[in-house]
Amino acid sequence: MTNTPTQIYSDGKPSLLDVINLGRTYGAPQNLVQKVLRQPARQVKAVRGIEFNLQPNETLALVGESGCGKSTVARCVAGLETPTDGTVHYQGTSMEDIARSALPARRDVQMVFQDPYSSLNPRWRVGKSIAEPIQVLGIETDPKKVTVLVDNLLTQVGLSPQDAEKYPHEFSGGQRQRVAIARALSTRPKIIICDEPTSALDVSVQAQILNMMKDLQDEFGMSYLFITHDLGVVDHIADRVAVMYLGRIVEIGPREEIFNHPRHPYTRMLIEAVPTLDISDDVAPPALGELPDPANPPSGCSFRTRCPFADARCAAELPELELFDNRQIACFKKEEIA
Amino acid sequence: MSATRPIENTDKLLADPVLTVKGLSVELRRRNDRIPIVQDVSYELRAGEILGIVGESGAGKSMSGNAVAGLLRPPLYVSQGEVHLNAQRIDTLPANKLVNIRGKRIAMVFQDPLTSLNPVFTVGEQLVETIERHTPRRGQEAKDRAQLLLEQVGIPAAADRLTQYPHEFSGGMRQRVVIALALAGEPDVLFADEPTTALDVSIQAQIIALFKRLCREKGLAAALVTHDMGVIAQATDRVAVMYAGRIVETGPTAEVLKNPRHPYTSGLMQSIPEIGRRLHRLPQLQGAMPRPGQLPQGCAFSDRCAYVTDACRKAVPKMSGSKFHSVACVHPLTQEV
Repeated sequence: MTNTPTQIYSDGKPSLLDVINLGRTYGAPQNLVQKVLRQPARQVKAVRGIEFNLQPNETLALVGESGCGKSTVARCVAGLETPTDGTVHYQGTSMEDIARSALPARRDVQMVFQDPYSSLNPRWRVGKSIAEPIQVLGIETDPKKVTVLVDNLLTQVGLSPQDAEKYPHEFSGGQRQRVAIARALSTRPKIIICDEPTSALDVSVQAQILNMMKDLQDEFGMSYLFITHDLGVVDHIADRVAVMYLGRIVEIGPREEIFNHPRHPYTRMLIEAVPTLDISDDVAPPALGELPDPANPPSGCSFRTRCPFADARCAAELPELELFDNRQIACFKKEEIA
Repeated sequence: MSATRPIENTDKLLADPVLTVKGLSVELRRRNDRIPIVQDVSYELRAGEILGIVGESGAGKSMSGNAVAGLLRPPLYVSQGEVHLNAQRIDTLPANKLVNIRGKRIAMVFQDPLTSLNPVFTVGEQLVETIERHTPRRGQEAKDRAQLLLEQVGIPAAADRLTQYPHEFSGGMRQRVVIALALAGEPDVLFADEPTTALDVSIQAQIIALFKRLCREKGLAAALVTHDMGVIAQATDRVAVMYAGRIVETGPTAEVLKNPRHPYTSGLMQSIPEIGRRLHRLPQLQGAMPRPGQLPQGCAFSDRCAYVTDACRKAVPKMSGSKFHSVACVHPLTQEV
């Protein structure tokens, strides 16, 4: 661990969150033949060697296609899953310790999911759902004060205090996501992990939610770890971007560098593939090939099977993330492609 | 100022439409209630041209396509309108006649390829069945045709793939198989309902390119239903924007996207976060689309519109403008955006 991202981007400030060499492996159960023959079980390395940090009041976007492991990283960071390798440190304390104890830090990391309908209890009035973390984590116990807090939270996310009496099904999709955000905000967290928070919403509603999230960040100064597959949303909301491919970060750096001068061939392919509103007849040639099976990834660089620049070295060795042109990039061809 | 505008693709616009939809309305019937879902939708599809139908969820964009293919099931009914395929009126045909049109002359591609494929038959079996059902080809001839179709939709090692089951294909490859199945009956009209929504962007770009190429090569009259303005911009020749069950703006895609005249179209486009257009706040439309049965008086967009006046709430605005770019708005935008 010579050069963690912490040391590169921190400009003196302590980081809020450090993810160090994070890995998560999912094992398929052994079948009888494998047990008899003592063959190893089939394992899927969902994510490997993930390293990044998060600064106060910063938005880091994790972007990639389905199956690249971005949600697994989010769940490990939130403490919802235990990493099989590496650690997640929140202000110097490992997440495992935080999850196991009643440390005050537990309230500092909250999560917002894609589908608010499945993250809210359908039989609870939303006021109760929003009040629950406040009471459980002991932020406020006096019922009257809790009600005041809930009313304030609802107002902050653009709903009205009367909405506390409603059930989740009485809201539209966008309003339900507002409720989920209010619940996440209820503990005054320092980090909110957002896993595709606007992917299920229509664009006009998505714009409302994204604007609101930015306003809340301006007001409360929390950090977002924003997981999405939508590069337009990333360019709008992120300060830094980490591009993931098949369980690894292949490029990470400031948003303007990644979008204006993408260096990794995969980042370039992703950006080119986004359908733009510009109408031109000379459409860029569509990307090659498809995502390989994560259980059986290619040797060396996992992108080499789709990469127009790949050669023998890419198949033999695994490129590490290295500092290059104001970002970190894992590619042997970075100088040539530039 | 937008009344007269240089007309591109004149020959295409003058060609006879393959499919004509006139004043189509769909309603949901519940006991004594009749809730309008789609109202007065008209469009034409011409050979070799792709019409995009765009709108947010609940705008009625899928419903208008399903109604044309006769796929509505109770409690949904076509309450008004006509559908003509070439010179034949098809919406009044009995079900046993319609099955000879649906799947053969009008083919459909849906969002989720797994639900369109039968998991217990190989891809080859399903293709051959469809080919034998809709064309005179039999036996080896049908098998050769199946292989050719897989090759045309860009599936490598087509001969081997014919013997595989749908679960052995990736999502993008599955959608290619579904497109091959749609083409098996050699249709005149192709309806694609969110064909790329379940796919990753890199795969989406491949499928859009394939879809465009096939429509051009085979002279299909195609409709592409999507919520994604980017897909509309990349894939379609003309676009119809739907809001709360009605078409509110229609015209050549380049024209509508560059110079939207309905405040909804304009607001929708501005609210899309685009790469390279970073703003601190996205311009946003207030509120959400009203649900069917809860539409405001007059223009359905009036409650969210920045230009609303009393006139907007009096009656539902009619489509007006040139034959090529028309808009249903009392106060259409005129300035170049």
